[in-house]
Amino acid sequence: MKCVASMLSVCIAVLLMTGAGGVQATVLLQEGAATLGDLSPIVIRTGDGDMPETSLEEAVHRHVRVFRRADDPLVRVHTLNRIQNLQARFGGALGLSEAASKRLHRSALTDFETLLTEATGKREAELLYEAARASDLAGQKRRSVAYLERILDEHGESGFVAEAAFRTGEHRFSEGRYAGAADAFRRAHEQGADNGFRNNSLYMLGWSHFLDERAMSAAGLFLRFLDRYHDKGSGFDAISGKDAEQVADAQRVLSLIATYGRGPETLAGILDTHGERPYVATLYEHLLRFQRERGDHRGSVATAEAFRERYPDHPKAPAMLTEIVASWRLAGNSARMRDAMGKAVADHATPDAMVRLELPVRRKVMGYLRRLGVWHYTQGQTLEEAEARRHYRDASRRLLQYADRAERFRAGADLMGTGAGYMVLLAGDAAKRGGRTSSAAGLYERAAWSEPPFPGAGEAAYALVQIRHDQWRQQDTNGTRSRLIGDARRFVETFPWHTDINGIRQVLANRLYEAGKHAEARRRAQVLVKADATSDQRRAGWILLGQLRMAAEEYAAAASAWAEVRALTPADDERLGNFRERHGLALYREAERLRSDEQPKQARQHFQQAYAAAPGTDVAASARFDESGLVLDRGRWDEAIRLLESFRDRFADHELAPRAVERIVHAHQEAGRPGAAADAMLAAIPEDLDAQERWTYRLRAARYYRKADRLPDAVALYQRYLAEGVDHLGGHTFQQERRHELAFMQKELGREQALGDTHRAIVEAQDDVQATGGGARLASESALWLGRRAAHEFEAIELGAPLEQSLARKREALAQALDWFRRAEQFGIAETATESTYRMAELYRQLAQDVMNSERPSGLTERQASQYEMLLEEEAYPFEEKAIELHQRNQERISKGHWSGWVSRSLEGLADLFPARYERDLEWTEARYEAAR
Amino acid sequence: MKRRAEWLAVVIIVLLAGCAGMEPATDSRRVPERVALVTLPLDGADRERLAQVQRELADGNPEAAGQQLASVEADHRFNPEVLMLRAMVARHNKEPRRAIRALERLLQQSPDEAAAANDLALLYRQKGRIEEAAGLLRAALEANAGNPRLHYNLAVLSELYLLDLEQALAHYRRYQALTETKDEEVGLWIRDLERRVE
Repeated sequence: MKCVASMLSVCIAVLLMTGAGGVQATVLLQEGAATLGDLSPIVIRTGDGDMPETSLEEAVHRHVRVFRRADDPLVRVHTLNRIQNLQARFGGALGLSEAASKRLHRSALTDFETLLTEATGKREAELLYEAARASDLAGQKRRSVAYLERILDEHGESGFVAEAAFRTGEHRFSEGRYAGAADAFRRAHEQGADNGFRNNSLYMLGWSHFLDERAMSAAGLFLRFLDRYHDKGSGFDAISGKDAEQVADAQRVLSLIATYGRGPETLAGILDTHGERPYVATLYEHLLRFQRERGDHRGSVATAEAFRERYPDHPKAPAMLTEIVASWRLAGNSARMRDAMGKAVADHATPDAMVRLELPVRRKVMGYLRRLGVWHYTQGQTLEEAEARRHYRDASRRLLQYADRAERFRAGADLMGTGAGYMVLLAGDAAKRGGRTSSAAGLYERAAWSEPPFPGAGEAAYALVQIRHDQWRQQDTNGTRSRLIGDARRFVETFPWHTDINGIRQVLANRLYEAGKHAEARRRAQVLVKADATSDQRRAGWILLGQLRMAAEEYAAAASAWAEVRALTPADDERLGNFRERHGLALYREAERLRSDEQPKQARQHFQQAYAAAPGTDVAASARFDESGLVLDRGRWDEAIRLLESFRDRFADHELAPRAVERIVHAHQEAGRPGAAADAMLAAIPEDLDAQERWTYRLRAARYYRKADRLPDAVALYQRYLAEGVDHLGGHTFQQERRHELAFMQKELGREQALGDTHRAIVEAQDDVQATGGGARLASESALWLGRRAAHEFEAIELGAPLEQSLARKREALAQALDWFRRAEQFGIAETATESTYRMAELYRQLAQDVMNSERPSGLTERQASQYEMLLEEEAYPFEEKAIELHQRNQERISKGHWSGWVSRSLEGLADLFPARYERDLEWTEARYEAAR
Repeated sequence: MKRRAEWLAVVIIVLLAGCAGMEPATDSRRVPERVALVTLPLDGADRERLAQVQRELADGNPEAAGQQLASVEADHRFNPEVLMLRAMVARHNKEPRRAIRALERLLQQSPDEAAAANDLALLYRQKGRIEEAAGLLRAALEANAGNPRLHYNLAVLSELYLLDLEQALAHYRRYQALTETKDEEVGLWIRDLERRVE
C-alpha cells in the first residue's frame, strides 16, 4: 500500500494561482488510470480574457524595472503582487520568462521576511499567504508549505486557513504523508468557504484515507461525497463537468475498494457499515463494469447476481440480468450468455413482468427473445432430425414470444426495433421446419396480415400460401381448398410485386377452377397469361383457359388457348401429345358447331385443322371421319371415298373404321358402283368380328354384287355361305330365302345343273322342318320347279312301239314329276298346291292322250287294229279318270276359298275331259239385248 | 254452254254430299247402301251417242265404243245407263277392274239393277270371288225373281264352283220355267243333277 501511495504522489502536481479574481486551484485525478500507479493529477486552467499584449508586456516590464530599482520591501512586494495580478488577470507570462519570474520571486523572499518581522494579525496572515505563493513560484515548495503551516498554526481564524489547509494537504499528499494530508484536508473541508471547496476537500480526504489504507473509512467518505451530488429524481445524471468526473472517480474508488476486497461482498459490507444508499444499484453497476473492464467477467456476473440477491425487488434487479448477459458475452462464453438470456427471459418475459421493466431493459429482454429464437433457428439448420426439430420449435416459441411482446409494447416499437414482423415470419418458418404446420400457418398469417406492414410480409403471405397448398395436396377437401383459395387470393391482390406472384396466380386459378368458380378462375388465368411469367406458368394459364373455354362451349377461343399451350411446350415434353389432342378437340368442337350452324365450308376447314393438330389421335380420326360426312352430304362421292380410304388406312383399328367402310360402301353405291361397294366391304371386314357378323357383311356384299349384276361373285358368296356359314347366321327361313335367291341367280346365269341342285336343297331342307310360312312356300315352289322340269322330260318322251317299253319310261318320268308335284302340294301352300294339282292332272291327261296317239304297230289286221284301239282306250282311260279326279280336287278347293288361275284352268280341263258335266257358258248382259230391253 | 255450267254446279254439290254420307260396306253381299244421288237427265244427243256405243259393241268394236262413250261421260259419268255401258266397254277391252268399278258405282245408285248385278257377279267369278258373285246374284234375284239369266248363272256357280248341286238344280229348273223356249241342254243337265243328287 505504501508503494502505491508513493507512486501516486509522484503524479500529483499543483498549480497555485492567486489574483483579484480569486481563482481557486483545483486538483483532479486523471481518468483512465487502471491502477494507482497510473494516477496523475489534473491541471485546471483559468483565464479572464485577452488584453493588448504590447501594453501588458510593457506594463509588466515596467513593474519588473520598478521592482528591481525599489529598495523598500513593501514597494517591492506590492510591485510583485501587481505583476502577479496582471498575469493572473490576462493570462500568460506577459513577456516574463519562467526563469525571470523565478528569479524575481526568489529575490522577493527576503522582502517578505523583512515585512513579516514587523507584521501581526491579519496582515501577518496575508503576508504569510503571499510569501507562500512567492516561494512556490520561486521553486521553494517546502518554504511555501512552511508559510502555509504558520497560517494554520497561528492564524486559525483567518480566511486563508481553508486554502492553506488544502495546499498543505496537497503537499503532504504529494509527499506520501497521507495521514497528515488527511488532517489538512479534513480541516479544509471543515472550514471551506463553499460547497465546492468542501467537496474537493472531502474528495481528497477520501483519497488520503484510501491511500492511508483506511479503506472502509475512505469508502464512507466517498459515499458522503456521492451523497452530496446524488439527486433523488435524476440520480447523478444531472451533474456534469469536473463534478461528474469526480463523482465517477468516487464510484471508481469504491469499486477499487470492493475489488481489493471480496468484490460484491465487500461492497455489501461498506453499505452495511455506512448505511444503504439510494444509488446502490449505481455502485453495483460500476463495480461490475469495473470488474468487466479488468477482464473479471465472472466477478462481474457475481456482482450482478449479488445485487439481485440482496435487492431482489429493486427496480434495477432486472437490469442486472442484462449485465450478466453482457459479461458472459464479453467473456466469450456463448452458452452461459444464452443461459443468462434464458434466465432473463424466464424471469421477465411474461407480459406482466415486461410491463414493469424499464424501457432499456425491456428492449434487451426483447433482444434476448429474438437472439435466442434466431440461435435456435440456426441450430436447427445445422442439426438434423429430432434435434433440429426441437431447436426449430424452441426458435418458434421464442420468436413468437418476441412478436407477442412487440405487439403489446408497440408504443416503444421504434425503440425496440421494427423486426417484429420478421420475427413472426421467422417463427412461422421455424414452426414449419419443426413439424408444426398448423402453428406455422397461423404465424405466417399473422406476419402477413396482422403485423404492421413490413417488407417481409409478402414472404410470409407466400409461405402461408405454400402451407395451404401442401395441406390441400395432402387432403383435398372443400375446406383445404377454400383456405388455399382465400389466402392465395389475398396474396395475389396484396403483393403483386412478389417475385413468385405468377406461381401463386397459377395455383389460385387452378384451385378456383376445381372449386367450380370458373368466372374468377378465368380472370386469374387471363392475368397470368399476360404477365411476365415463366413459360410453364403462362402455359398453365393457357391450359386453364383452354379448359374453361371448352366448358363454356367457346371452342374457337379454346382452340386459340390450346395453340398457345402448344407453342409454350418443348418438343420433348411428354405432355405435348395430350396438348395436341386437346387442341384438336377444340377445333373439332368448333367444327361441329359450325356444322350445326349450317356453315359446312368453315366446318370442314376446322375438321381439317383438327386433323392436322392432333395427328394419330381419336380426335384426328373423328375429324377426318366427320369431314368425310360433310363431303358425303355434298354428294362428292369420290372425294369422300378418298378421305375415307385414307382414314381406313391410317386408323384401321379405330372404332369408327367399320363405319368408315360403311360410308365408303355408301359412297360407291350412291356413285352407282355397287360392285365397288361390295369390294370395299369384303376388303375391310374387321378382324375382330365374330362369324355371324362376318357372314352378315358378306351377304350384304353379295346383295351389292347382285345389284351390280356381278352375279358370279354374288353366287360364289351365297354358295360359300350355304356351305360354311349356315351354322353362324340365320335361321331356317333366312337360309331358305338365300337358297331361293341363289336359285334365282343361277337361273339368270343359266346354270341349270346348279339350279336344280339348289331347288333340291331347298326342298330337302324343308323336309326336316315342321315350320310353315316363308320356308315352306319357297320349298313348295322349288318342288314345283323340279316337278315342272320332270314334266318337261316326261313330255319329251314319245311313246312308240313297243309300247310297253316306251310307256314304262314315260311312266317312270311321270312318277318323278308326280313325286315333285305331290311334295309341292304337301307343303300346304294354296298357290303351289293348285298348280301342282293342275299339273298332275294334266300329266295324266297328257299320258292318256299320248297313249291314244301312240304309234300303232304295223301289219295289223283290221280286227287286230280294232282290238288294239280298244286296248289303247283301256290303257288311257285310267289316266283320264285320274286327270279328272285331280282337276276335281282343285274344283273342291273353290268352296274353301282357294281360288287361283290353276283352279280356273282345272275347271277348263274338266270341261274338256267331261264336257257334258263341266262345260258351262255363263251369260253376260249383251249390249244389243239391253238396248232392246 | 251456260245451261251446262249451271248443272255442273248442282252435280258437284250433290257429289260432295254423297261422299260425305258414304260408309264402307260391311255385309257379306257388299251391297252399297242407298245414297241419294241426283244425275243429269240425258238429252236426245246423249241418247243417240249411247245408242252408237251399243252398236259399236254389237259390231265387235269395243275401242270405238269406248271413245264414243267418253263424250257422254264428260257430263253423265254417274248416269246408270252410262255406267252400264262403261262396264261393258271395259270388259270387252279387257279392263275388268274398270268394269267392276263402274258396276259397283251403278249398284250403289241402283241396287236392284239386275243387269249390273249379273255382270258384276260374273266379273267377281273371274277374280275368284265366288261367294261374292253368288251373293250378288241372290240379292238381285230378291228384286228380280223372274230374271232367268240370274237363275241360270247362279245355277252354274252353284254346280261348278260351290258344288251345291241342290241349289244348282233348283235354279236350273227356275231358269227353265222362266224361259219360254226350253233349253234342251239345260234339261240334260237337270237330269244329270237329279241323278247325282239322288
